[in-house]
Amino acid sequence: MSDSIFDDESILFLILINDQKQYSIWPNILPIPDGWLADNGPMSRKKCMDWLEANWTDLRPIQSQEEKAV
Amino acid sequence: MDQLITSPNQSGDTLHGRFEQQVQIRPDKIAVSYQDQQLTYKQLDVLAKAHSEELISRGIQPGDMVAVMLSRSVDLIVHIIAVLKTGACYVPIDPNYPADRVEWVIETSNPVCFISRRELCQNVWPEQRPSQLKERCYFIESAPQVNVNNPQASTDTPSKQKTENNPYSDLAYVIFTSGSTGKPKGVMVGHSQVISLLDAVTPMLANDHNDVWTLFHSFAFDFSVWEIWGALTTGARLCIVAQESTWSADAFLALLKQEQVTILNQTPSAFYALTAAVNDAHTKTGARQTLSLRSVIFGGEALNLNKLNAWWKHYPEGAPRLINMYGITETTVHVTWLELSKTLSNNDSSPIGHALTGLQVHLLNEKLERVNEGEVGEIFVSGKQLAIGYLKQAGLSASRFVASPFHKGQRLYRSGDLAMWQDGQLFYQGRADRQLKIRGFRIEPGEIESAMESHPAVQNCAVIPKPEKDGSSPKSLIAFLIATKAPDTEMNSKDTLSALRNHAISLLPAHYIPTEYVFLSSYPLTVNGKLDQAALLEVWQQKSNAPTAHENRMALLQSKLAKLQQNNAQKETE
Repeated sequence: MSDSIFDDESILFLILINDQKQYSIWPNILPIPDGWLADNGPMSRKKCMDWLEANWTDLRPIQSQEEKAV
Repeated sequence: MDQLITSPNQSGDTLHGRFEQQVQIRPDKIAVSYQDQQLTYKQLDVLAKAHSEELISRGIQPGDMVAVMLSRSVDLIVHIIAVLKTGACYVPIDPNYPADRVEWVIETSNPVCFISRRELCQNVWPEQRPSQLKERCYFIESAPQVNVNNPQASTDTPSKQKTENNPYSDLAYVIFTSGSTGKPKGVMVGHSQVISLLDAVTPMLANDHNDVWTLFHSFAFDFSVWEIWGALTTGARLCIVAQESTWSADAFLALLKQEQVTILNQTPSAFYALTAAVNDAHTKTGARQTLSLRSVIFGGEALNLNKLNAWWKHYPEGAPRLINMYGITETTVHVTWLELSKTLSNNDSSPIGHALTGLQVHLLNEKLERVNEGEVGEIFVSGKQLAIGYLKQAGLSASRFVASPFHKGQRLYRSGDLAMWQDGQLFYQGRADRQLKIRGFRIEPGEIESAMESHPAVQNCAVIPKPEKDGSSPKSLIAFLIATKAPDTEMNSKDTLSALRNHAISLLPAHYIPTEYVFLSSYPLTVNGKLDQAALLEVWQQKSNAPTAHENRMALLQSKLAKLQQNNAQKETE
């Protein structure tokens, strides 16, 4: 896995979010995929991890959260 | 399937809802059996319902996590269904796991309830149970007794999944998997993901209520999810395999015959051992072993197609069907499907076919671009079976389930596995993080194993890098071999070993030649039925540390291996 760009500690990452309020880290050097927005960053991978651990507490997609609330 | 649509309840979107549909359609059919115990669909439902009511009375709510630590038994299935009927999800804990792993699962999932037996807890914690569990234990031997045939206790209306806004109320289970590094992580899988899997595979497998499935695997390994729910959502019988029979291919073969099993799920390692047992029984009795098998499904590790020829010597192609399925816990058991045939079998790599309906497989390079046919890329999976994420690991979830450049707003799971496309077919190429490098050369262990297995004296070969004493990166390879005929003690003679080495030299490049050859009577397997590499290395270390005479070394090795095989359930290297 050391070859994967997602594990590369030497580059900066964005934190992306989709309309389901799911997060993804994203290498800053790559174009942002359709349907995702930059929510935070660019910053180090470590900082992304810390931010996510502190802020993303409910991993369920929002659609599922809303369905259960009805 | 039309019966499902006309069924009065509309609970086909949950696993227990699908099970309850079968209870209504065929209440008196046997649902589950273990040794001399069995329960009909109706009886299983009555028991599960009674226990779910007991759990609800203890405050269990939808969205809660309930740990289940039970040994193989009919009770195990009763309590899994009971948990789901409350709207909670189950967190399976194999009672054979070491205490530190059990505690890790409990600490991470913080279950509101822990279903077990006192005896099993005493095995895990001879002194004292963790204080965290004290108020939460639900010992099934102390639970109120239920008369399975008492109509008053029966459930005429199916349980309804409640719709309170608790976190994770759509979760079905959390299964902990070991990565190559770090602590086991809890993969959160919802009902809809498993339903998607079942709906994708059932039409291809053409399974129905006449089938008999085995529960061969530990219920803490996700292969079991497929075994349990593949059977119980289709009105089939789930035959729970006793732990001893999972360790002995001869005993398991006897069970397949006695129980007339029709659908068998196996790791390739376990299936090669079963094939050898079939071969032995044939040699001893002179008769073909009559089995009821319709389909055998491989999963859990890479399949070496060459090894299936030994099976096809005894059974015709297609009877039973042999199916290879590649999968990952994070994408709900299975991802791909391939029906195997002899024409495919002259291939050293592991063909895994194509993605299941509802899933897409992308092979990508490090810039996340699709690779060309014939080029190796990492497997990324998108679609309906993607897990929700890792329990309490937001960072890890966001770095393994990543934004998809191919489907608007969707996620991709990056597997860490390598594959290539060839003629519209996926071929598995090993783990991205386990590619062997020996003295700077990239090594594919499967090639060496195939070469060794082409020697008539060798039935099976597993190649592992030899650890260096100073902890530096490995510089040579060890071949662990199983003999075709002669006992392994004879095979470990100098003459045989040098003959094997010459055989390897005649077929392989120099940097591929193993430096050591060790014959064993069988391979140690992990609790999940995969080859236990750590146990193999222990055997080898025992051998290299042993003192003088060859006989002494072999005696030691044999006792060590026997012990390892007994203990292998306690190991977890998945």
